[in-house]
Amino acid sequence: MRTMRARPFMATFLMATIPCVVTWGKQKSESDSAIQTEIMQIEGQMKQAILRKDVDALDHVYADSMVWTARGELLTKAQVLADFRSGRLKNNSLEHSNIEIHIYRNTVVLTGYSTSQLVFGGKVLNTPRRFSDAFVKLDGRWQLVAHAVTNIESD
Amino acid sequence: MIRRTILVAILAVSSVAFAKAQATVNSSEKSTQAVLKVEEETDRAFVKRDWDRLSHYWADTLVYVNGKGKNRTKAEWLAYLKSGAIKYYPAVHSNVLVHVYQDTAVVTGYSTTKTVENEKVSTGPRRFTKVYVKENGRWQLVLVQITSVSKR
Repeated sequence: MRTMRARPFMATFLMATIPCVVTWGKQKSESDSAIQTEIMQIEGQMKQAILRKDVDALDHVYADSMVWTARGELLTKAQVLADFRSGRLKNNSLEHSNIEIHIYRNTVVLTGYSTSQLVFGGKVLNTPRRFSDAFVKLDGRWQLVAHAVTNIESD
Repeated sequence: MIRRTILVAILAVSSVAFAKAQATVNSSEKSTQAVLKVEEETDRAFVKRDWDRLSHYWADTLVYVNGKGKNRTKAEWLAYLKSGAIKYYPAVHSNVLVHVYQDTAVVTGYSTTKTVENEKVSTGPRRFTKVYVKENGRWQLVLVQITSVSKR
């Protein structure tokens, strides 16, 4: 098992300034750096899709059985897409940092810190949070299978 | 004769596809049961303070995010547990869902398990999201994230 600081990403201009640490599982089916770059590209695409309210792009990346845990609720893909589509959920900004990626063959776990400002049901939420995304390679492409968000509270 | 050959070929392809689909379903069901067994064993290990058992099921790269959004590595989380700062009572979970994607499993659930952390009693409620990866023939936990649920 190795842990190292990631090299600068060539293709992901959105993530270029985010510090990122990558760890590798023992078995690898692809080049780790290629997987890392691909995942960061997908994260960048998801961010753009959320800001542009491009629900079709999100639909493509989210696995059909994706689970999304936020604000104490468990939501399905259909519910999340409906929230974005209706405007019940929208992001005014998307700010992620401290991104860490763990690669396990066809599974990637990405964790990070978010100070994004979002609006849910008309209420502005800007509490700092920790988020995790789990991706699995299905039908030859990386798909988001789980997303979890936890508000950061002081002890 | 040609028509008969085509029919036989179609039936053969259909049978293979059906068998493959059945194998996938059976394999998925087997994996679900295996992951749930690991969940049960780790729940018991928390109560019995069996750190070796927990360590066995946790990947070295485990990321643990608690209900306050604090993240810990496997080593940090084990050290915190060993310090005695938190005590676990028998697990009370509901709405547990398992999604299996070959060698990956996502488990979600709702928990009201009683814990005492730094003398503060909590029964949540909370939701958990866990990701398991099958490596070297065994399921290992690679991510746990807890999210508090507002009491209504």
